[in-house]
Amino acid sequence: MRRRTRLGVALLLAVAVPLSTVACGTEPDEPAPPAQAPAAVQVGNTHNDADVRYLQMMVAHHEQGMQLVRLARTRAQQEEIKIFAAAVEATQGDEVTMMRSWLGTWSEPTTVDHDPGAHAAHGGLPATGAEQIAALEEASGAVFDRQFLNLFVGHQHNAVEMSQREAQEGANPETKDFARRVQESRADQIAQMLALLNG
Amino acid sequence: MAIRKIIAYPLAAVAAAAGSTLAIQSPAAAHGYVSSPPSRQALCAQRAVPDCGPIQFEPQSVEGPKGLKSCDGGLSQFAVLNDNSRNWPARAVGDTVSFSWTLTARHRTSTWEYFIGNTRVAVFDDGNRQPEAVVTHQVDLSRFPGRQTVLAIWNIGDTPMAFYNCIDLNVGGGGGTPPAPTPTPTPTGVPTQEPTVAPTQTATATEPANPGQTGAPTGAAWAAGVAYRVGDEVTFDGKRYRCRQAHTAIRSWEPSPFTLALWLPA
Repeated sequence: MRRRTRLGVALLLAVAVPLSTVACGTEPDEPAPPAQAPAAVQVGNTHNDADVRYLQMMVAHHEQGMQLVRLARTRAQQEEIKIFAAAVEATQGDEVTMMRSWLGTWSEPTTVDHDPGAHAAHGGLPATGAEQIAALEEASGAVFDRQFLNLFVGHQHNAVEMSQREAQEGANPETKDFARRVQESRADQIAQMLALLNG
Repeated sequence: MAIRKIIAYPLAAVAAAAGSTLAIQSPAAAHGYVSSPPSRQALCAQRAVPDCGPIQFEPQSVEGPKGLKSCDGGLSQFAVLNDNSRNWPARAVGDTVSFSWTLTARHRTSTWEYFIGNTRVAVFDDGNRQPEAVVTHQVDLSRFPGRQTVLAIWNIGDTPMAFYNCIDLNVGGGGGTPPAPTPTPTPTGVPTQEPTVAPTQTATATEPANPGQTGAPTGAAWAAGVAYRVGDEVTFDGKRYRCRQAHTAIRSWEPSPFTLALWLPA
């Protein structure tokens, strides 16, 4: 874990310098982000199947997460949860745009065939799926806050797990660096949410 | 070894959902832990207890064979969870406690058990169903006043495995949580709304006037843990940035081309 983090810093520096930020059209099915269209970070061509799979899964995973934070942004009782949710919505919205543009660069589809949460038959659903989102929609008050935090902590643990796999199996430097950023930011978000949960 | 197994399962599920031909790992490993009141692994992930080792990155992974009575599920890499010399903070709770779980894989469930010492104080039978969206159990601990360590166990329905949590409590030590329709796991008069931290989304303050939380004079170096508000300015890597979205800073949320939703060059 530590080893990976140090490596990641080097990668970030390597990536950050040549980055060109290119204005990119807002996705038609994306709800309006807080401000203007997000910029995209460009991706190099070297990549493998693990990179493609990771980005496709993360796009789908992010979209479920966006449904949770959109609910929390307006419905949470604690103001800190609203602020947290709005910031996650803003950053993950840009991440989705970026991941789609990368998949587009590689001429790969940006969607997976199935809802990753719709496979009860496989015996171990990920943290969040349509059922859990529907349950959250019905909650209110302090129960809403507790449900959101527990669901979103689990959701972000899943993001860390997928990103660990990308770090091991991926080949594209930008995607692996993105996976490192996801691991760091989600671990810190989890810490924040556990603190909110336990006052 | 454990790490490989831990990450393999949920990924296999998602990959299968993606139409991949990857073989599904079997038996599947489910994952979860008690988030509130915080289990020892939750305290590690929250970093309320430092230097926990690898458990801080995967509090959901304390998996061992059924029937153990240990905090670490018999996993040597998580032995810190058994170390009572760590002075795990005991959460003050009322006589009835709401235990909430965070699940990262929703496996079919046999039972949820709660022990104090060798006494099973509660059991909830899920009948081999998939868990609810959020699992919360009300447990009456009135017979066990004072400092206690509760062992909470999630017994998986279709594997021989279980997930183990130790939760340190001071029972009857504060903030009773009566089993009301909306139980609040928050004990001891901690307000759920903090009037001191109420920056609204529309705020356009240019001066970070909250010395307690914010503590960042305009243009100060960006730092993780600081609560930034819209209009706050920081310096990062020799450049100046203005916050456009209120947030508490974390790693990877520093100003960069990845975080234009949070920061724009000033």
